[in-house]
Amino acid sequence: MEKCGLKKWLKTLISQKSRANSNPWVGAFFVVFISSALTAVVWLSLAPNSKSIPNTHETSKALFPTSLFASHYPANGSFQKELVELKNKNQLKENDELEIHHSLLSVTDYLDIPPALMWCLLFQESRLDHLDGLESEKASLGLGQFSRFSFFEINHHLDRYDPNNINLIHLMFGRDIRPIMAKKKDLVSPSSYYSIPTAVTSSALYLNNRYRQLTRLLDKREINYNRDILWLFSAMAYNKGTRSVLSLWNSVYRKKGSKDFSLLVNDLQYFKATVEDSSLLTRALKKIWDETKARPYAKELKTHTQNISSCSINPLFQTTRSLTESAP
Amino acid sequence: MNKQNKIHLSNPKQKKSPWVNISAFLLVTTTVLGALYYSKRPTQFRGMAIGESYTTLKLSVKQGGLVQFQKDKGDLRSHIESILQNPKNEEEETDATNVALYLFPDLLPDSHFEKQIALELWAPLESAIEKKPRSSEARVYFEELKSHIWNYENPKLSSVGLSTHALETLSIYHELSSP
Repeated sequence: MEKCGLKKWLKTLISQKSRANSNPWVGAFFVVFISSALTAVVWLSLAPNSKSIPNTHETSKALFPTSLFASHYPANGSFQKELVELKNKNQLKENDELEIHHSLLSVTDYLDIPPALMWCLLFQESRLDHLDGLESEKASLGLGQFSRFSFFEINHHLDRYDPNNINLIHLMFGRDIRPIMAKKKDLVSPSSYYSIPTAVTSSALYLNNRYRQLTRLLDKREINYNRDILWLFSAMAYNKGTRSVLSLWNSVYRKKGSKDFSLLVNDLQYFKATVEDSSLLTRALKKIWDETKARPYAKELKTHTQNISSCSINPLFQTTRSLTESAP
Repeated sequence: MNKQNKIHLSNPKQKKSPWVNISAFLLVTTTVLGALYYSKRPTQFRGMAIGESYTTLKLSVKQGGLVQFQKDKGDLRSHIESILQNPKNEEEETDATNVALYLFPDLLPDSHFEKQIALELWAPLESAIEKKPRSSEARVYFEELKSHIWNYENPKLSSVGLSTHALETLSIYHELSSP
């Protein structure tokens, strides 16, 4: 039966061919059709597969092709003015500025941190004074205002958040320079936080840990996010602790729902409106501290975030007001 | 005969509705069962402000040792669990959530963003300290615990400081890890 079927099919094909021979247009159509189909098959097989999106980073990049961060920083007028003043008064030496810049470009490139964000964070923390706290008994010291607990994390928990962290230290210094401390008597030692490359590297690692900590939570819950906005949240966590950020996330998620939460981690305008909402921030921080502490802390967090955002975000994404407002 | 019948019918005992007995039975049973349930709940922390419960835990570490501490911690856990399931108001819920964050993070709902951090960062260190209390290893674990909590809440050591719950938790484990 099968053989008969095959014979019939071959006969039909041959008869079609003989008819095609009789009519040249049918043959031409046949060739065009087959070649088009083959081209389509090859094109489809080479095209990127839209169904297999590997991770949220890829999604974020696809959704937001342009970085939110400025390529020239500081982007805001107030920080630009302050930077010029610091240089004019010789409070920021040219060599130090260059060394900060070179170290910053190396570490941000390796850890994939937006350079503008890293620079603005250091400027906000110490006004780029790498010897800040040297003459006093301050609890937070140097370029990135490190505390004893920040040192502890870099010295003891470096691989907890990102296995690449230790490779950066080897890349920058050729060996493991830990334990890193604020060595007042040996300022240029690679293990001293008062040394510029060490301070920039340690601060970038601490910021990177905050980013990994936050993104891991979102990845686990399969929540898509814009990585640039997550870097802004990481800068908040750097300054005021991951708990303040998570308390804000909990408040938004619980009170406003998952759609608004998604906007918070994807939409810059929503992010800005949320972190500038003093009463919302205070309410979130009241879940941690009593009102007398939560209120000033919320105010500090708001100012810190506004300054970092206006300094680091591309002016195209900012309003004139946010670029010119004075930084307290 | 008729007279007798009339007297019999007018007897008040005969007129009493059976619903009275049923209601009385239900009332007594509910009261007894309620009292039984209430007495079975952990007594130490019932009606106690959550701040005071930390004091009780600290006292049990100092005076009663590890066994007493673990018993009291178990009682506090049941108390916090019942509050989280049915909080009276937002304040009570926040307080119970904060205790759970630092002592019983597995009780927090999965939707709570802080749960995973607590389970990863300090819950293993706390149970390690409880397994080898007052040892040199416990001291090392405590230093790690302190660093995680400080970095989590207040990395700049500003005047705001740690939350009450974080401070109380550190105080308990400081005591438990002291040689």
